[in-house]
Amino acid sequence: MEQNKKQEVHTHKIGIYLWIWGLLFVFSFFSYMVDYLEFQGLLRWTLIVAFMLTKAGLIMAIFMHL
Amino acid sequence: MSQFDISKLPQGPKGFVHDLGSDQRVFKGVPWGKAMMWIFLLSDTFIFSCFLISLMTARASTVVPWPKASEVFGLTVFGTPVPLLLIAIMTFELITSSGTMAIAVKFGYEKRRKLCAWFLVATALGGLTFVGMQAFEWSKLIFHDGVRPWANPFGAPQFGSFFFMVTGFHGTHVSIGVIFLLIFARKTFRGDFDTGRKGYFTSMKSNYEAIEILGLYWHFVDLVWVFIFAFFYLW
Repeated sequence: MEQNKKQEVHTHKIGIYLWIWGLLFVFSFFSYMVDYLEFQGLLRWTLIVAFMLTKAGLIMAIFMHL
Repeated sequence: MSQFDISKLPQGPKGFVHDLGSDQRVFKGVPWGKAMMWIFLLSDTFIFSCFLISLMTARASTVVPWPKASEVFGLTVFGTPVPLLLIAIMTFELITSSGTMAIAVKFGYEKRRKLCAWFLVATALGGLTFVGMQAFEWSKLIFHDGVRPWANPFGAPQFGSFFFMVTGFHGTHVSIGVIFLLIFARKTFRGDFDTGRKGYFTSMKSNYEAIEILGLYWHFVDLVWVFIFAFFYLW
């Protein structure tokens, strides 16, 4: 059990969480705009996947401390 | 226990391989609850991957046109049809609850008990709103549009079965998350993680790491939604 104490606790400043929160909002808005502006074909699929991976990366890297 | 110093063993991925290859206990220094949560999330990843991969296979192979999600899930606001409005609101809702969860975890580690608990309550409310909107969406599709797992008026019949399966499975995760958030908010308000009060079911002491483990689950639910939003609703 002493080993547990050696584990470093990962936390960020609160501002970082608010920033990421804002960024996720912006990228979700972009995703929504892809549909709203009716982009089609390859452009649509590229943008959807790009925004999806960006959002997934932000959630995993910052929120889940991966 | 004190026979060896774990800091001298190899760390990171190399340490993981080293531990497995030398009959050592793996994930040293990681609380068992956190390791088990990651293993659970990994298995959950496989399940959702299966759903989404088979969804994309069905979409690519069906000869009947796939329904246009932006029209199916559109809402009419003051006489103007807005595409995908409900889903956009649900997406922002879930992201917001993920943000409040991250802040709750942070306050937990700083041992600011009440703030942590209130942010857990806020997260639970966000999740509850999400499930509520999903219930509205389901009832609209079932009772108003007549969507069934085997047929729907919009196009390819597989649309209905994938809709109920994928969003239903995700909604179940959110609902379970809300229940746990409320339980842990109560435990936090009562000060269980400061006094080391034993859990009702586990009879074990716990600490604020429990909040982080709950946070991992909640962020994962948000993460899955990012993929469902992209592949089911936007594609």
